[in-house]
Amino acid sequence: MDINTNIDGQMATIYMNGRFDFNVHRSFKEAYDELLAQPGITSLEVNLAQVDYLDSSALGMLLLLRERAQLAGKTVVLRQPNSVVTQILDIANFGKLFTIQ
Amino acid sequence: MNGTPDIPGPPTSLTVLVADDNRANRALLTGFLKKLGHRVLEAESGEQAIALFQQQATDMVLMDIDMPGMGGYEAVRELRRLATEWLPIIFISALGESESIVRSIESGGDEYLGKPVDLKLLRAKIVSLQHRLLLTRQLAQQNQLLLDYQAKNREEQAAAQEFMRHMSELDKINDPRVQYYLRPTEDFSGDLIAVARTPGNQLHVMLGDSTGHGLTAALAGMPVLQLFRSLTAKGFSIGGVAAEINNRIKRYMPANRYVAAILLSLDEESRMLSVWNGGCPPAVLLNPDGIPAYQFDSKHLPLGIVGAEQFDSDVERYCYGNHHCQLLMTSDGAVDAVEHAGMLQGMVSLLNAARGKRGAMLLLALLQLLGEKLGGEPQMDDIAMILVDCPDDNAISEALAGGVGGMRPRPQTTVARPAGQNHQGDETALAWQFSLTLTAPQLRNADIVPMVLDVVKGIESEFPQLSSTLFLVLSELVNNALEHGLLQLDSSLKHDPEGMERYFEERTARLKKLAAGEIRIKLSKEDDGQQSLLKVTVANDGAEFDYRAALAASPDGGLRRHGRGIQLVRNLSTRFDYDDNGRKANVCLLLKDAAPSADSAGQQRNTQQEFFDE
Repeated sequence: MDINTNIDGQMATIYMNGRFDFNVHRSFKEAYDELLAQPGITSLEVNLAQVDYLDSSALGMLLLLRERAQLAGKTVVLRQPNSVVTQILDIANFGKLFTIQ
Repeated sequence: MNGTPDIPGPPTSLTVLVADDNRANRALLTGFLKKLGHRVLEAESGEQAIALFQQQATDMVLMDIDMPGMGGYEAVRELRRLATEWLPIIFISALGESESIVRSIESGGDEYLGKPVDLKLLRAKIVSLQHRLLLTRQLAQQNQLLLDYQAKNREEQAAAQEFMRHMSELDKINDPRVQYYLRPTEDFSGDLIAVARTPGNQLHVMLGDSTGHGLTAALAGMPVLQLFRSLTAKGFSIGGVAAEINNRIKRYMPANRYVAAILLSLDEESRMLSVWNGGCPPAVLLNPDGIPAYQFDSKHLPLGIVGAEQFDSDVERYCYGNHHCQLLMTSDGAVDAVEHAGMLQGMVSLLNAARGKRGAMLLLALLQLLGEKLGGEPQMDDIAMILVDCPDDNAISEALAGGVGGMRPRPQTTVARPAGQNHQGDETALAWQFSLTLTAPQLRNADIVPMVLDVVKGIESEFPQLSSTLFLVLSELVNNALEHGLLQLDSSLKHDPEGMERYFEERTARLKKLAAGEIRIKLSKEDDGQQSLLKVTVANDGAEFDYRAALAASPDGGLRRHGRGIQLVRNLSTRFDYDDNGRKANVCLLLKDAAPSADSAGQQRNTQQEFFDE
């Protein structure tokens, strides 16, 4: 799994691919910590278009990101999950916590 | 290392074994080594070198090749065999260059120096080997530490596993309604299974899936299991159990840890299932032919994510009617193992395998499917499956008649049949008394009965025998006060399964909106020296209640639960009446160990017998 980030004005995007699980824990955290530390960024997108699978620790990482972002006063959006990932997010009812587009 | 000279470790001063048959050569090397600050052992032959090495700790060897008797090559081979750690060896020889260098290396030498010895070069080689020795020894030490740690860790893991096994109390699950399968990926399971009965004999079952797997996941699950069992034993509703567990996890676990869970309550009397599903695959109700009849989808976030104020404890209710059904619950590990392509497909495959099967055969069919799908590959996640038997009339009466150990008897009552009044004329002494007034905010949010039971438990030593009776009586009276008095629900709805679900939906909706109203609960224990009486009063300030009709209603009229509660309270109590146009219910319970303490056991029986016969 590669993690790339892109900043466009006030919006930052984290691009991920492959299997989103505990193994990317460190690099995912590094990526969002760096983005949340930048005062110019107000919203953060996690682009899941290339992600095939999420496990429960990945959902945990998203929860942690959400908590950190709230503390920093920034919003988080999950974008373009494929159908398998959508099912996983639905069962966990993450739509109640995140904007999913 | 603190640099104290007598601590073995980085050897700044080495013990060097010098083996040379030529006394002058030995003297030259010894003198030079001592000048460098090293200790020297001198040997005249290969044999002597080996003997010295075996007697004294040696850090390094300078070895002449050509010696009478055992030569240098052979001696070094022997030293290598004897050494328990890496031993730096420098060959020193006048023999022809390249051939002797090759043989030196082949026999196990680390360095080679020609004669006459260039002392500057020798010094450089000693220093370089000394560094290597230091590193090697450090590495060996760390290796040992690692091995020690590994051994200790293995021991602790085994102890922790044993501990967890006890805490999980899996081996104590022996409810005849429940069969399960649990297979962790590692030694510890992050998937949790718990089964318990309320004091009113409702079956509570939980399947949980704690984030991740292994020790941390299992550890996070332990308090969840315990809480589930203790809250159920206190009589909390299944939604109340979910709420309490959620709050606890939220408090003690970091934001990225949570527990996806299905909590189920089965009321065998009214054949109603109440399910709270947060983050688990759907729990599926299978009809008598093993075909899906209803499914309880995940409607909530998993436990431990949102705080108490946002937590939604609403349960989904379903009455399965007079059919002998089964409910299948699975963790996502099971569904995933069957179909990587997605939850829905995995669920479909599992349900196809279940078709037409019951009980153990059904679980076996699912296991067989899992085995085929995994094809010997290790599973990615913990796997848990629970099958709950949802009995109809026949199943219940068969179990009762056959004594299959299936149906449990109603909880033991601790009170006498309603045959008479309290003995008259005796002085009664108040043992204790308390009253509690609950207003709309508490009524909306709190599980009232367990709360009251907790208070009684705190003051009453006879509580263990009293618990289930008091639970039943209080539940019935409080529910009546709430549902008829304050919420003014139409109990005729409860005549059929659909109406029953509507009734509960309506109850939930009205309760959420309840703005005013109160319920007063008063409990007191009285002792006249012959009998102990527990008096229970539950009053509300809502609508009048036609208690005469309720008391007269046949318990078999309509769906069995309707009217039955009131009958039950009447059967359990020595006195049961209403005041204030049905708004206030008074119940008297006779405690079991009521005979005077001076009486023998036989007399005690007599006293009670007379009492019944009055």
